[in-house]
Amino acid sequence: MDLKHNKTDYVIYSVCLAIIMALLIAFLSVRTVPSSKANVYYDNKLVYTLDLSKDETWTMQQKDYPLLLANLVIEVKDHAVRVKDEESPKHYCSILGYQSEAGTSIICAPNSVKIVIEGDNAIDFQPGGVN
Amino acid sequence: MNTKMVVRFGIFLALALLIGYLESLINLPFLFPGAKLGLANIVGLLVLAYYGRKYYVLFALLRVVLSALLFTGFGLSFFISLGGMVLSVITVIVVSKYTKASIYGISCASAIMHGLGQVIVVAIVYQTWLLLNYALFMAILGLVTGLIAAGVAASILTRLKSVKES
Repeated sequence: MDLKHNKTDYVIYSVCLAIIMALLIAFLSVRTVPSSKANVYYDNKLVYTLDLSKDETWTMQQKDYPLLLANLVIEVKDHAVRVKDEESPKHYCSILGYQSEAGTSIICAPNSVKIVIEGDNAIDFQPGGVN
Repeated sequence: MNTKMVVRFGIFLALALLIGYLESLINLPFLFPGAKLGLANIVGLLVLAYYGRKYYVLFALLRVVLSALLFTGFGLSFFISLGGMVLSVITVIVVSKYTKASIYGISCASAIMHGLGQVIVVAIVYQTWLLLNYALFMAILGLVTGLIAAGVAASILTRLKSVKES
């Protein structure tokens, strides 16, 4: 194995950059549909409905929801919702950040929590279950 | 593989597990959650250089399984790591066998595909393609960390060339 840069490396770097550009284009072209409410499910049961037209922060206390790994904080801001704070091995549900598109689910599987943004029109999606 | 090589292989494996574990304990504020620098990949590159592709595959598989057995368990984290490992190992085999890429090219391609493999598994499990934005950042991070890992591994290989012959 060669330990110094060679011409083939630059071809590989170009392919890597092409992958990054493709991901960037795909990311920027994601279509968004605004919504007005989001349902919060815990252990597959509806526990709260967030009004996306009002900024609010709702904390799910671990003492009330024992399957949580820690208190889970959900924040609504500028018609979008996110999981602001949670405890999980990879933090994927907080990584998703703010979401506002109808049909989108933010799933915190280790905490048995799912937030489903409901659609205001016919473009609703059927949310999948948390396993 | 003689006894000396087996022992060294074991030491490399233990080192990779230890680095991976220590890295998981460090929370780097400038990185997004879940992202790591992938310093254990330096050891992977050393194994590839010293032992070849066949043992690199064994090393990668053992690393994921033992890491799950010792630290994380065989839950979602295991499958995420396995997804990243499979795509990364396939990339390393293809790039190192069919191209004349140096350690830098191999490392970058491997790091990017490792990140993408992880995101693909998460996207399948969570049934969402919204992690596409995460894939973008993972790919950028992979490019940078791949180059760093290759630089460190190349430096070590230059200094420890005698290990292979002894």
